[in-house]
Amino acid sequence: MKRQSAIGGVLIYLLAHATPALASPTMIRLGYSDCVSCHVSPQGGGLLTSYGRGIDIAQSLRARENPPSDADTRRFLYDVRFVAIGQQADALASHTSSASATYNLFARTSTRLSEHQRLTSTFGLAGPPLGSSTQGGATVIVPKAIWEYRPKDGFELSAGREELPTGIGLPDPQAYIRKNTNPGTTAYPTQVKAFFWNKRFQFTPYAFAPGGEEDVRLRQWGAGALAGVDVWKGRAILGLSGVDSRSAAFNRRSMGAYARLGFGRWGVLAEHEVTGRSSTETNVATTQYVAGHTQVFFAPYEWLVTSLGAEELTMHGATTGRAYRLAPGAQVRVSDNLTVAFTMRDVFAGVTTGRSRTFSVLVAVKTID
Amino acid sequence: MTQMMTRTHALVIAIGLVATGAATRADAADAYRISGGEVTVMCPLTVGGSFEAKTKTLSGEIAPAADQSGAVGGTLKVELQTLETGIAMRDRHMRNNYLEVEKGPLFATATFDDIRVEKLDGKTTFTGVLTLHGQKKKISGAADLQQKDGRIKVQAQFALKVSDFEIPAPTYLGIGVRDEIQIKVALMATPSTTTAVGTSGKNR
Repeated sequence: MKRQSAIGGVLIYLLAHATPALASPTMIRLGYSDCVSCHVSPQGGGLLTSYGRGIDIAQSLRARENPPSDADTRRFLYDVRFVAIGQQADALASHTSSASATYNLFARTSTRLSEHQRLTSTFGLAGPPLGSSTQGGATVIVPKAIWEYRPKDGFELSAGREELPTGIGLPDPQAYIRKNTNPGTTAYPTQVKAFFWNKRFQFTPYAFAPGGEEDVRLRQWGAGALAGVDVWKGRAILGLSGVDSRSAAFNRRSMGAYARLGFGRWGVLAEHEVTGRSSTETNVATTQYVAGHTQVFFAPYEWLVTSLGAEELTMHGATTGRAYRLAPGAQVRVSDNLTVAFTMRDVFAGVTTGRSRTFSVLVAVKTID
Repeated sequence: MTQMMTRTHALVIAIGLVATGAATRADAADAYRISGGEVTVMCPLTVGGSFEAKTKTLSGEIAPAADQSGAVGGTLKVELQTLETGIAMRDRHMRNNYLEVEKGPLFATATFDDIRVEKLDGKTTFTGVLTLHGQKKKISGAADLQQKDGRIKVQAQFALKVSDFEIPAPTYLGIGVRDEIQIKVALMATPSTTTAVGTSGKNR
């Protein structure tokens, strides 16, 4: 019963979270071994630097010359991003299917406080899923609200609320791993972290605290680090990750390894981790998780990146279960305003639960200030 | 790119070619043509990271001197119009704004001649004159030469300063390429069936 419940939970999550990612760690194929060249924040995602805007345009279907912008010196940067996701989920064992659509609106800002400091935030309005049985109105989400201090190139200190850093920086696998090995916790914990980077090394230690929206007993305090090394001309980053956390309900410890490899038109992104999560009750129950994501990507054109991702999740101990997910996808950068992504998720969660398949289309439109 | 054929080596290769039935004159073994290769220009960015510009249009003919002077006659040529970085707009900027390939043959083609190598086989050092962006500069570097079946496989690497060749400092939207870039050359030289090129150590 426990096993089926766990697998069912995994399946529900996988169906509900078939959200294609729009991050660009695939740029390692062209020698961009970190995010600082193109993004305001070294963790990547979010607003682009002037150079990042140029690359964004240059790699779109409507590539054109980009006039120099003052994005690197301007006091206030912003954009508004609208993301619509439509998806159809088919449970192959029960021959049932469901279709839904979600709409999200994000306002992303970055305010320069001084030569070395910025306040960067993302506020979102998430509409209720259309076509699903879930009722309710729009909800406000705050995926990012951080203070950033960069006294010099190669070092940044930041504090606030956002996703924890990961080895490959892909939001979808990151959410997949977090939801399954760390259920009930927030995606956006409060945190303090430091980024150190140079030509060879990337090191990101961090400490984190609850985000505030979790159940009281699941609120975690912890610390972790990512450490990567460039082993081949900015096109092969190998790294290790580790995190240790405590909450009223459980203690959690995780060790992982990651790789970002790029070879011109194609590359590989992989991140795998082993996690132990023990309850703090009198009868200690521990579940061990092995979770990971491996993706091979290929860019036949600058504006088109195709990928084939595979994810695995196994649970042993207090909870047992196993699930695999195969995820082919394609992302088309039509212009610097418009990106469209197609993804299929084929999930196998054991004989009892069977297979399910989700098709999704994501359309992201953003303003350019 | 940078090799010298000693008399002994020439003799060994000539004997080998005759023994395997190859219809090649011994004196023709002194000349080699470039039968394949790739040039990779590694451009470090001012903010960290780097990109590569690559081309396979490497051509030329070379002939190591027989006098053990280390001189290698002939010229290697790289068509700069074909350099690619993976971003089409960056390719256009590189060719048109910085290498200025449309200014004429001295800009469209990089040439390497007046080559001298320390030794023909194994790891060695070399010098030569690189003509790039209409400027001639002597450069030096390291190479690894491997002889097999009469052919010579060369892997060479050297550094140069963009400013030495009067190329405008490459920059785009606030991010630039560092002044010193690395060049890697991998090529295969096969015995030429035509007359050997000059081996005086000077350009033809």
